[in-house]
Amino acid sequence: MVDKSALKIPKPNPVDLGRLPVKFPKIEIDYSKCTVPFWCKKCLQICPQVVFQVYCKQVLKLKESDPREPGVYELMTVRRDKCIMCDKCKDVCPEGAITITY
Amino acid sequence: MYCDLWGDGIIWYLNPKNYPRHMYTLPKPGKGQTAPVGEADQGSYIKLEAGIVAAMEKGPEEFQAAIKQYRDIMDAVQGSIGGFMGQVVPLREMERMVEISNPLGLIGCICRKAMLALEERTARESTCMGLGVGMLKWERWPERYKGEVHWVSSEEAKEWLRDLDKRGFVHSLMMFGPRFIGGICNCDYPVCDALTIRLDWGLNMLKGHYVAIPDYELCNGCGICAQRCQFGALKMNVTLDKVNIDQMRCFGCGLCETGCPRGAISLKDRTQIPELKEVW
Repeated sequence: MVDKSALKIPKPNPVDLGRLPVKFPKIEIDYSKCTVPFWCKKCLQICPQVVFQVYCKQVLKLKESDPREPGVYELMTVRRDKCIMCDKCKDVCPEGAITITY
Repeated sequence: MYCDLWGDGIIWYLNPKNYPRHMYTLPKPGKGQTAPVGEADQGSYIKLEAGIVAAMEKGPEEFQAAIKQYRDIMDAVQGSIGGFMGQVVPLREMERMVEISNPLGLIGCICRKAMLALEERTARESTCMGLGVGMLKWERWPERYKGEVHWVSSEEAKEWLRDLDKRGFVHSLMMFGPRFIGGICNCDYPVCDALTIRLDWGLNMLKGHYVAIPDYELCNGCGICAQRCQFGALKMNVTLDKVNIDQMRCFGCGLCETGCPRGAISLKDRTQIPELKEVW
């Protein structure tokens, strides 16, 4: 058995720490308007940088969630560091739920 | 890196001992410790990633702390070392992996579900594969699998892998629980989350066991390989009209090798090259 602590763990870290902290765009989602993101998926698929992600708020055993039911899935802005502020998501959103500020 | 620990003298993912063990050790969502990547708990995993971006706005110390937290949580939940729960594997060894493991089930990719809201309900669409007896209890979490798992034989799995390879996906394995290989992913940047955070922040996925070496005698500069590289390692040397591969960036996925019509690119064992044997 090899000792785990003796292993050399690679530490690749391509982020230029000298540049931090950096300011990223703020993307706000109005959750009272954006209720069925998994069904709509317009902003998710139009974003060139794949900034958004969607997830099921409550994963239940033995039950598949209905994407058309309001409030089951939630949209989140994850990779704001990659956002280029092209405003495509804002324009495509049928509910006008997304605002981008810097 | 894992070969020293779990390889028993061979490449660790080809060691049959890493397939049947530790099946039921993963924490379940909502039970016990807060697992970021439980069976279907994508939400907390996404929040962790958003937390790293928020830390980048605060400063380098906060960023390093967020990275360390991510690695620690991965180690605690998945039994990985340094947070590396996946590794890039070339096609020919993927084909050997599907011979070792059983059963094999085609499922929808969780990253494409989160990033693009794709459901991948049919076998044709599926870009992910669950390996081993853990798949037999999939019906407990239909939300994760979107109500469909397509069971395949190893021959069908190989055909599926070759088809995805032709389309240009990077194959990788995923570890679920200590030294248990439970899944095959087919990734591309930036849709695959594991590959994206590896290339952006150095997290989650190890480089493959191989590096690609070109043969300039055979290369005619057609450039097909350059379209297939997901890692920015492969560029065209315009002066010589030949391919140029940066071995420090190469992940050893083998897509350039399988795409080359003239067989001009070969995969060499990383551990046999002094400068590259520690570059994972």
